[in-house]
Amino acid sequence: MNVRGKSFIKRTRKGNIARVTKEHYLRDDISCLSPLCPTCPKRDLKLLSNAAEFYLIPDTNIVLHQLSLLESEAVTDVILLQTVLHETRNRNMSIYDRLKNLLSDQSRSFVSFANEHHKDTYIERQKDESSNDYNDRSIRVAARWYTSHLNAVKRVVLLTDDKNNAKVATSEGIEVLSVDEFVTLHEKKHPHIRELVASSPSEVDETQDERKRKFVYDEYWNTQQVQNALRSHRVVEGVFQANLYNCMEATVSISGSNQESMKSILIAGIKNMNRAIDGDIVYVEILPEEMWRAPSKEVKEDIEEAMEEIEASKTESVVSNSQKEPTGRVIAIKRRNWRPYCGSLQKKSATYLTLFVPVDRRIPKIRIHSKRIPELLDKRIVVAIDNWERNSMFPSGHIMEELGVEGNLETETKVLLHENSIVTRAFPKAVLDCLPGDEFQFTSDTFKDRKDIRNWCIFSIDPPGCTDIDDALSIQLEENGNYMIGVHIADVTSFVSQDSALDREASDRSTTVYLADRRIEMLPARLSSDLCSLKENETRFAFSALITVDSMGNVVHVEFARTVIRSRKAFTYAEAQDYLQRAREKDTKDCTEIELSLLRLMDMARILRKRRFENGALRLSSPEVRFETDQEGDEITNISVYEVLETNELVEEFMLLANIVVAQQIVKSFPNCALLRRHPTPTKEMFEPLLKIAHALNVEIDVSSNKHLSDSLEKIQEKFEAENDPFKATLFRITTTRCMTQALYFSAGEASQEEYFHYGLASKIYTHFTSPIRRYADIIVHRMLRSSIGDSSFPDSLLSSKAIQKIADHLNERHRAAQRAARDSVALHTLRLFRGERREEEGRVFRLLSNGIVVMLPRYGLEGLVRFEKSSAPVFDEVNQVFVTPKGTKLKIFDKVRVSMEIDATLHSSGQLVMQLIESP
Amino acid sequence: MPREELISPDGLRTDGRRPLEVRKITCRIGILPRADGSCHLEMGNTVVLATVYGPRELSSRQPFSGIIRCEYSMATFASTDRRRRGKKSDRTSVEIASSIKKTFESVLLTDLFPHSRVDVYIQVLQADGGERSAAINAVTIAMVNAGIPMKDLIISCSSGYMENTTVMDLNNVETLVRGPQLTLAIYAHSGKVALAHWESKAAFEIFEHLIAVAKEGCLQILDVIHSNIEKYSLRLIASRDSISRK
Repeated sequence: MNVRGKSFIKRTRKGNIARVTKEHYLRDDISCLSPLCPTCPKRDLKLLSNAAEFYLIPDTNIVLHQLSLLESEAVTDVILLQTVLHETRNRNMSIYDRLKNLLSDQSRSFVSFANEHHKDTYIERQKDESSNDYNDRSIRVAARWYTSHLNAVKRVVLLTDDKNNAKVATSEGIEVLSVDEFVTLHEKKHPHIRELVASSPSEVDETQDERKRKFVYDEYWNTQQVQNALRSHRVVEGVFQANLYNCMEATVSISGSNQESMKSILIAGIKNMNRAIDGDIVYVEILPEEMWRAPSKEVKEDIEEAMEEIEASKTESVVSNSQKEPTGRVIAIKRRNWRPYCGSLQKKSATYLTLFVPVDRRIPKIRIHSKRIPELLDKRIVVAIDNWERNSMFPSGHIMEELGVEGNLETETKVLLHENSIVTRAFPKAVLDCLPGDEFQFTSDTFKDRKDIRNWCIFSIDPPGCTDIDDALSIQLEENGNYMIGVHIADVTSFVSQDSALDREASDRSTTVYLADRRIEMLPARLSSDLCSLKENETRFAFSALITVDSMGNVVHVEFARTVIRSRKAFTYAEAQDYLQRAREKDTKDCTEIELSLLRLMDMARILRKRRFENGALRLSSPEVRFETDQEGDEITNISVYEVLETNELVEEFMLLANIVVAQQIVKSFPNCALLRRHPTPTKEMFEPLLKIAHALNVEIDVSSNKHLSDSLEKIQEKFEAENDPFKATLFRITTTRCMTQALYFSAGEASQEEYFHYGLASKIYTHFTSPIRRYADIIVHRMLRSSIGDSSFPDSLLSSKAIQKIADHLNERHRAAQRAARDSVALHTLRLFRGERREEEGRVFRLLSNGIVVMLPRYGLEGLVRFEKSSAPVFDEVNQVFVTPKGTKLKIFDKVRVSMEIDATLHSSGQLVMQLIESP
Repeated sequence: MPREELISPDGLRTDGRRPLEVRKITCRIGILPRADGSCHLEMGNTVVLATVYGPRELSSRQPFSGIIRCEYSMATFASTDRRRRGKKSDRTSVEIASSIKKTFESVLLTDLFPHSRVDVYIQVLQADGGERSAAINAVTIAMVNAGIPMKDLIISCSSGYMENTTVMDLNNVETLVRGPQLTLAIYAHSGKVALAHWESKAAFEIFEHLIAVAKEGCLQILDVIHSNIEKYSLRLIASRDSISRK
């Protein structure tokens, strides 16, 4: 082996100048990875295949811009040079990750070649050579080496769109193809391959010639300008968030800002938005104060329409100074956060050039250039954005994938899963290999070191049809009158070992996703509905929390143990309710053990529940619906609102109790990095909309603490019940819920102890322990708990608060995505139910906008938008939250209205329900 | 800017080594004529100079404080950022010096020179990871050079765990990651552990693995050092022959 010194000057993080010296070893054992080469070592290496006519070496720009082309099945035998991988990694991490997937995928013949460490392909950087030129030269040298190395056996082709580079390469005797030529070669066999080609900027220019004069965005500032402006605080950095209801407006939220007023900056108008897309990290220049504006409350969905409107009116509404917010304009993009988007093509045109309308309303339309447009008009497709030129109103992109016919249930489900980036692939083999073999049985030697409590009276209560039973309960009366409550949770961690392929897959998925008609599981079915599921009359492993409480509900003693149990009965909520009912009528002496346990648990649950509400826990509400399916179970016939039984509350109460005691235990053992869950106390401002509504409804509400809020909600409930309109109270609770932020997972070290508080549950500390089959957070908590009782050690790589917080962030993100997917799925099914017919329904005014109202349909838990036409629009009185129609009728919040709605055949999975107002009582 | 990737998709480390390869070792023996024994050892970009004086008999007035006195210091210019202190009194230096002292005391045949002392001076001229190992290896060679009788040679190598891979002989970039890292010194012939320096926490399996890898590294280093010592000795013999022939 040969050594070269690599030495360069670097600026350290502190800003000092330092000389960095690194060794650089050149090797003679790097394989060319071709099965045709007689000399190179090949043992245990992933090789190229013999399938293609030639080996392909793409340059960095091809990898960065044409990755979807490379990812297509048509492309095989690709050599990714180290130089290319390195440059890609520095430029775009997500593309690099996709490359790594290609490299590790055994079915794709992608290999990497460490050209910079190969003795024949390493070159020294010359004086005055730019790093780009040096990289290009490295790639050429590697390509030439390959050409001569595989001289007679196989052709090697350099794929590049850089004309100068191609010229030099050809003169050096390297075969070169441009993307266009490459695609032409493959087009015969793979007719759709051209669709995957990302349009290059120059191409767009030609077609956009006329537009050039009509519409131009400002040019982005260069790095130097941005850096200078950042230092002088004229420019700030933040995440661009498009407005869901108004496509002409966006906000940029500034993370590091310590000024309260500068937390978010309004961007008004697409010119000021300057080609930023939701999620991008952008630099924003704050405009002078006289140009500040108030956020508009109007609904604007179509940019083109909105533009025309502006052209027509040219007047701006005058707003008072108090409503004005800091306003700015985007001057440069720090990092794009583009992903593939689902949607469909605009129906208007059928030429080669059309617009693609993403399902996500925050994403602008995308210009598509394709020969297949006519056949794709009724399809759902996935599109990637390639670039956004200054002179084009919309970004341009290319089609990546076709999902199926629009409006089809299967397709629309695919869309909503894709939009929420939910992993739906089948479990890969490596994951399934981690499962215990078929011969696995729960024999006594597999549970030597577990506490055997198979003779205890343990049972589970779950929704009907539940196969992944992860909790079971037991209760025992002790001699001193205390009760020992056993909460037995499936011991998933005994099957999912730390850092196995199975563990990584589960952590990636983070949660089981429940859609209206299916579920996408976090763990393979063999675990989730067999080995881990605490099935009736089966021996199963459990992690038990044995909690001793006195008759007042005070926790006296807690013990955790890994156990082996046998559930006596798997109840559904309704069955358990029946059992309970029957047991209540009987004499205690005649009761069976299960009935007695149920009775005792119910009593204890009541006590605990009462205490919890006395402590200020909130009874919140969100509309939950249930679907009734026909016999085959694939067509949904009706929906109804979910009914809550006493037994639901029973289970809930003990799960809360177990989660709390577990949280207390793990925070003791891991004070710095326990994985906990908190619900932040809402700020005054967040309750603002609620207070407005309360004022409009003439009720009093005290939001100063959760206890007061809870009490005043109870009072409001009573008041509305007295007025014979209890649903108003439910609406009020839903609105309250929406004022709050969601509960979050976090690492104990990232928050102060006061912040551990769970506002909704009024618990000082909380975590998730009880559903390890369907939530990854619980798996981590199980591991922590195991370690805290000395059963096994928790991995050190996760012992830092930062590491746990990183996991927590991922869990939170996946949790939200799963919730969104579930909600979208419910909406999709509901809309399907209404499809094709005109319906009249009774609804409630749920939100008032300045040019429309949001109506909620209590029967279905659905929300829809009623837009007012400009001419006949009622007048909006914001103070009293009332619309006054020209006729003089008033439309108040939570009022009953009758609406009609019609859903055309091409329904959208996340499309909005548009309604018309018929009358208001 | 994303953090540097330590193990590439090809399985190569940042400098082009495979996980189980040590850096290039060069050593020059006996470069300081006035010292009894000296060695200038390069392990990659880590350069140390070890000098050994003695054994010298102590006068009866001098208190006897052990068979070896060891001083370890790092030159101010040794590391890139000049943050680390070069003073021999700083805490890591004292700690390294005392661990080296103890390690070598276990191997010297002290019966042969009672009430004597060996002075060992180690200077790190360039630091690029694995200074402790390099220092131990350099001292071993310098001891041989000084002709001090030892039961066995002591060879040291570091190992670390990163990105699900166990690697040996860490360089500076790899050291800065702060994962589980081990510095191990073994007796060359018996293979027993003479010193294990361990500051992090890791699962037991990883620790076992790290020990195995570090041992493997020691053996690789031993090969190089052995052949160097052999070459040096042969040269010495050759020169003696030429003297005696005159």
